[in-house]
Amino acid sequence: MFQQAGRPVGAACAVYGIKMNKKLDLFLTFLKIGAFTFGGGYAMVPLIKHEAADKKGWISENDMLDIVAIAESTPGPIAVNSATFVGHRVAGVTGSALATLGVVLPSFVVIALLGYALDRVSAYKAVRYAFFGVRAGVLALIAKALVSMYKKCPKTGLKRVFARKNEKAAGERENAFFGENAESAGAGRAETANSDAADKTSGTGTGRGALWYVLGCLPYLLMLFSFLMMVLGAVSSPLTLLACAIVGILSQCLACKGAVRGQKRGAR
Amino acid sequence: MKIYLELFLMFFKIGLFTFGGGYAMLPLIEEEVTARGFMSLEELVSFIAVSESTPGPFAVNIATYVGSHVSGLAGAACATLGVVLPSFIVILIVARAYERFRRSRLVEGALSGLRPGVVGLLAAAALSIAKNVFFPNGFVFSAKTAAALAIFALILYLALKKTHPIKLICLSAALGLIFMYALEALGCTA
Repeated sequence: MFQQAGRPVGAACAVYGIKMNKKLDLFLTFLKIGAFTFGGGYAMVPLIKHEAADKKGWISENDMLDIVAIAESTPGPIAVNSATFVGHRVAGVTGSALATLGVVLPSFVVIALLGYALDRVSAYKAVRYAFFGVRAGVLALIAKALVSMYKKCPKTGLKRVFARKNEKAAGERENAFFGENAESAGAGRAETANSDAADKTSGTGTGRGALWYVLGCLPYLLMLFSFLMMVLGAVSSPLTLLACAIVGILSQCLACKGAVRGQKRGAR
Repeated sequence: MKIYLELFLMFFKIGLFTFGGGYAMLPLIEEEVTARGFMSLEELVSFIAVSESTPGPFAVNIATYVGSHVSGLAGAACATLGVVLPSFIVILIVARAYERFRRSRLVEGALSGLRPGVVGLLAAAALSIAKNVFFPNGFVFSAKTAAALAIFALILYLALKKTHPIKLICLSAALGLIFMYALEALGCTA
């Protein structure tokens, strides 16, 4: 009787204890990740994978890929995004709060301390001279980041857009372009039906020629648009980004419609 | 009290509109922080170097720095909370239905527009930083401009060969010292 009464309590205590440890563990792990990644961003991804996936087994390797994909497509720094995500997986909202606090705390403390020192030290001539070189170096790092962001940006390639001399080849390329969009939208179609449709439409004329040109050039147009908006200071950058997002959604709808229409035409 | 709210809201906006992390937030920070006079462009670029060589994400570092610069530790806490909160909330929402989020056509379309947009914004920010680094006092080609160009070219070459950023920053600091003392000895400093 006594034992029976004691058992559930003991079990509950054990469960509670494990949970508390898990939350503390979560906090400490992300504290470590926050303290040992310099430069932030993608530098953190391998460390998070090592700690959260390989060592603790909180998430699988596939989860890690998903986290990177999600972090790229949601606002905010990747470190905070992945800490929140892993924390949520392990111990709900409390867990995500603890993991985020852990990842933020080291840089907060370091910068808060360093901030005062920086203000004092910048009065020295040698420091100013060193920072003259550092600014040129940082510009180079930004240029490098710009190059890699440009490369990662999904583009169709202007050559592919304008090379339409060879009708058949162009049809195949067109098919590839719309096919990609339609497939990624979850409208999976059979490969053979797909190529038939494209052959017929490219043979019958230039029904979606204008749409093709516009959609193909769209990434470049958007780059130019946001560049000009920022240089001219006409519109603030959040508004520019909102406009870009809306144009992106519209283009996606148009591309899907074009693909569906092409499919119908091919079926006829 | 008002300054804390301003800091919080400013960094909340920056956190909400940064897609891609890292330098993607530079245009927004440049716009907000330098326009309000919290920091000069020169200080901002110098701070990027500090942020690269200290732990943690750039977003959190810069929020903490600007916050403490403007109104001490409480300001730093407000700014950091502001920059972290948007991604925290968004991820909490997404984590519940992330399969659906990943396959969403709406999200995909928005991102296909956002990615090029961010590249354009960053290019514009890089241009204004380049103007500040190479021609700080109007478009006069001085010995300093030549030195900055030389450092920039060397570091860019090494960066594209995937040298670690911290090494690059140390190297550029050393080069800055050498060039500037050499210029001073030659008597060409403006």
